[in-house]
Amino acid sequence: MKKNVLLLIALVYFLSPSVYALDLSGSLTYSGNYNLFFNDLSNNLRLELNCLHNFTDKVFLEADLVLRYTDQSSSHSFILIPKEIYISTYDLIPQIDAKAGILIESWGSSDMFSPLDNFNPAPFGLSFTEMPSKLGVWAISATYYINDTTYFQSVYLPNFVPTLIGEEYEEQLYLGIFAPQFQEQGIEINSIDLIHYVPEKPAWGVKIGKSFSFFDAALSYYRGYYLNSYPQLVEPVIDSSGTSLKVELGHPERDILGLEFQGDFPGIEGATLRGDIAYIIPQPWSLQNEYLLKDPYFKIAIGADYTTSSNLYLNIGYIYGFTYEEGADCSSYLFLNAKQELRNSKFTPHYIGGVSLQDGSMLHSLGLDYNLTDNFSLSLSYLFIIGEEGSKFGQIKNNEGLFIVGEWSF
Amino acid sequence: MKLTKKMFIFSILVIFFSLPTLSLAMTIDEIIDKMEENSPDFTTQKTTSEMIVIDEKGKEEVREAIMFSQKEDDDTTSSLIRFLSPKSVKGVTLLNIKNGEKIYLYLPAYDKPRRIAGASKQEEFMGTGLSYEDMSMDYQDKEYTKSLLEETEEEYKIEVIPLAEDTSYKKIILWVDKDKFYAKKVEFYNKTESLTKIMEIHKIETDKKGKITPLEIEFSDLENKKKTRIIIKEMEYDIELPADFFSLRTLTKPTL
Repeated sequence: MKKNVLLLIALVYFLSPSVYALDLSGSLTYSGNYNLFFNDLSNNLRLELNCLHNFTDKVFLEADLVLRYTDQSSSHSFILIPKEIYISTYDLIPQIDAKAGILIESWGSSDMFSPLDNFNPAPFGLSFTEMPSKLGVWAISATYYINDTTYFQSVYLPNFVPTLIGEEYEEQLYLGIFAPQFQEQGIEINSIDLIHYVPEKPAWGVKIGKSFSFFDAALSYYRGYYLNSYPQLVEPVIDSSGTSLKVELGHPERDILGLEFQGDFPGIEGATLRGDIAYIIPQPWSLQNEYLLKDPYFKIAIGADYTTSSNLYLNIGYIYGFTYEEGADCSSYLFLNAKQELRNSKFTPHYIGGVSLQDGSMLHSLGLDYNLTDNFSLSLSYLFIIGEEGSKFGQIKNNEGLFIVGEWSF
Repeated sequence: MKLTKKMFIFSILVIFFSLPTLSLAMTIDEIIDKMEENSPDFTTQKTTSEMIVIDEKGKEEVREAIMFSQKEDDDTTSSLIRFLSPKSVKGVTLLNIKNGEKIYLYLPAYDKPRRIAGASKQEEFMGTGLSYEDMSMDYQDKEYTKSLLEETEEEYKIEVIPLAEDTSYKKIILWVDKDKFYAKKVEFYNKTESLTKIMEIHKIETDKKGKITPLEIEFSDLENKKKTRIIIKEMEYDIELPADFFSLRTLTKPTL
């Protein structure tokens, strides 16, 4: 409700002729996906508007509004999302830059899958073809610059906001997991009733960062909750229409101690190293007398990027604990992101590949970008998975397909 | 002999001499002194420019940028460049602290500064045909030996050899205008002594004090067969900038 009110105020404000010095820009993006697993074509159209208004040279209103159309949802084809709307101040209070409103706060230095980036939920699912589009949350962020090279940052969310999963998908997911268990006991499940318990509590984090001669580093502490939900109670309920499965879902609490770094490192000549290391202390969480989360664990994302003399951009990364892995499920992966700039050509071939070091399953995405003009680009890619059904990448085999993205910036 | 970094910065940035041509034989040090003498005398500078990238087929892409620079107490230069157009690169900002001692790139889509490691400085910056090193003029902050190779009616040809091992260039050749004492052409030779880049000054402005400002500079990247023409639209000297302007916090500020 609060979001809608703010969105309305922002729209009225931006459309008002009294607004002066308003800088408006944006992009219109079409993304299509032909899913080879389901033989299904989906289309999405996304209009993103970035607005900037300066009240003074120290106080700004910044907004990023998204109007999205999808043909994949029967109930919400058009969605208007205030991705970000916030007031920002720069040096209004000496040495402090602050933001308040609906914010996206990005932590971590690694290029992808940072385990330290936990304030904002992202749409459920994985994307290897587009930049992850996170959702803004109500927050206050303030950075105190102790000097030119050292800063202290704090972020406070009055209410934790989880990742939202499509209801239909979530029902299928939990039916797929639990229905067979009860079937073995002779209980036929007819339907599922999901009950979400979202902690109405704050999440927050603090970070201290310093720029050294050859690299930058920051130590951070986050206290909040898992963005994805975990089942806390599963029981069959018999009613007039048969047996329904009641699943209660919650979000375990977690503390994360983080180290992030980027820059030159001895022995790695010619490359920029970026990395994040997270030490995660979870709230013990059990289901049916079995712990889903119990002991502290690490998640790591480290990458090095390098461009060869022939303009081949390479980004090689090691990940311990993929986006959807937590606790004892964490395992090791290697990733490669390559992009070849061609001389005097508007085409840029690219490749993203990943391999699970645990079971050898692989993910490959081959693509071609075409920059028609400075403001219009097209990207075509093909994603395929190699691996058994239950393997690390095999379990996302239903993402295989062809992707096309066209973007016009204005 | 060594070419001081200040002298070399001035030579690259086109610094010259207002005295009439001295046809008497000059020493290399005298030539460099004259060049330095004609350099604009400023601490801070703000420039609005148009950057035209021209590919092998002559196709042009135009980018507008705003640049701030400041001479630091230790004789180094810090700069901050932000693209204003086209929309696809609007807001992309490059921060160079103290002649490239630290370089950061801010891409609005990432929403966080990315540090560029020293060894990556030779990579091309945002399709401009210029490297991070070129943008930061990092190759200036080195020690050099220099010698006068040739003297013609119109120019001096000077060879500059960087002494530091970590420079990208084995040799730099300057053509210095004998009338105005500015480097109207600079050739950059890589480690294998192949000519890789040429910088030429096509247009200059001379103020009342004889100080010279380049208004049109062209970089030719011979390896990638690409040219970058920089046309200065506006230039202001000695503007007031906050003490911490050339730091990380400025990178993400929405307006400069």
